[in-house]
Amino acid sequence: MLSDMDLVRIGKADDLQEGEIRRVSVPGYEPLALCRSGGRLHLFADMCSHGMASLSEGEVADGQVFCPFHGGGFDVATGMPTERPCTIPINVYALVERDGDVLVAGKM
Amino acid sequence: MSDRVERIVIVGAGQAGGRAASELRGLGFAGSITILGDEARLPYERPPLSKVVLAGDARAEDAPVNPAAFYEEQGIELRLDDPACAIDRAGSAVSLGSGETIPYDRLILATGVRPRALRVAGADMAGIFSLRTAADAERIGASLATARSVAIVGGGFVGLEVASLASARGLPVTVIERAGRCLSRVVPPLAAGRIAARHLERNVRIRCDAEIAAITGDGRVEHIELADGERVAADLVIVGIGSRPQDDLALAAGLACADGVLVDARGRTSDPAIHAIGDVARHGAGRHESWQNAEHGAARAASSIMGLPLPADDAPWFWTDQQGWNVQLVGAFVDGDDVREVSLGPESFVHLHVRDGRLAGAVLFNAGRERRKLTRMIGQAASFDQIIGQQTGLGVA
Repeated sequence: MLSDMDLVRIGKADDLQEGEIRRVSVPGYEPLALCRSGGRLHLFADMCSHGMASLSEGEVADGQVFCPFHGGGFDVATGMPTERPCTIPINVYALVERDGDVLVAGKM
Repeated sequence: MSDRVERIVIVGAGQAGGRAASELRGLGFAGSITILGDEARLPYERPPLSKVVLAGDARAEDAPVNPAAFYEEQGIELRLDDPACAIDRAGSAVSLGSGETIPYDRLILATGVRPRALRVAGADMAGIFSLRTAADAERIGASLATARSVAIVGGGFVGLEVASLASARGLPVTVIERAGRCLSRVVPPLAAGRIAARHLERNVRIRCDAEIAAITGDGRVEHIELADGERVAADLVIVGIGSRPQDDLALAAGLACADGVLVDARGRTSDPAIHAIGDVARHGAGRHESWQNAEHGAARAASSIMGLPLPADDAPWFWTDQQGWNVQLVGAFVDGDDVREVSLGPESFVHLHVRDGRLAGAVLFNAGRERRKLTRMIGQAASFDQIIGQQTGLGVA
């Protein structure tokens, strides 16, 4: 059971539509990207594992996020690479929704 | 030619060679795979060399073609730092510089290109580089740290990427281009103009229609003398005037070559036991030097060898980093295209090229999010308004 100490508030996400993604800053974490895909929120590292690109500037489609620079893809739920040139997984974070707020609950 | 394919040898340990090995294993090839390379490194991607590697922000090893553990896991033998010297087609074997002979049932040539040399007096002086390998990028990166002024010979992608890095460090940079504009080979005029303007804003000097008369200095480059009498001061010179296919092995073995090793749609050369892929291969009108072409060629050759249908190719795609802009080109461009610029936000815009009522190509400036959607629309009948309407991100400003 997670104690409240482990949860860090990100903010509200009710404005985030299906297929939308945005960069979020959370104290103590690497830059993160929050997206809605398949009706669920997903939280993962914003920096592409292949290079210095921000995944929150990329496209979310078919349960994947595609890097805006070189088109590499990752599964938004697992962080596993799905499309070359990416071969290294990205970190994925567990999140909790409570009273309309999204909270990050650590690395999965 | 042997009907049983148990031994595949790949000459060239770059993007195309490394990918051919992983494609073959991915398609279930269980025989032996040997990759021969003349560099001492595992296959690495070349696009980062003129970007993050040159800047010192990453090493070539940070962008491997396959993960380092892949070769051992997949039973792929790497013979690095040992250049292939000759192909014995009658004996179905490749001989190496070390004197060894490696037999094959199928051979894949992925030998790439080498930079075209500048043929002018003084071109052999110290301080003059071309950029092809990781070692080149490391040498140029070290020289950038102490350079006082930089000249780029050739206003192509690689030259302008180096110009971006050098000017970002506050160094005076002059680009010397023989043609009337930069990027004239593959970038349409409007897009090339946007990129050139961005360089000018960032204090890069661009000299077009410029012929080099000589390079002068005292053993080390000090000036580039232009034919019109101008003298460009530079203690670091990067030559990026195109490249030539490394088809020496193929030529010596009697394979059909003409600015590259000639191949059919499956990637087969004039010898059906030998495929050629990547920058060195020429199918139809010309060679395509790109990351994507190396990927496609590797996939085609692997399918061909395995007797499988050819995978479909996506529209041509290329990317470059220019003065902090990520620029991507998809599709094909010709003079006379109907072009419209669509703004997506600050410093984010797209050039849509329509020809005969169809989307023919697009140039994306800081707009990579739109790339997959636009790629799917290429070749489809569509007006500008329809393209813009179907692109959720392309809200007309």
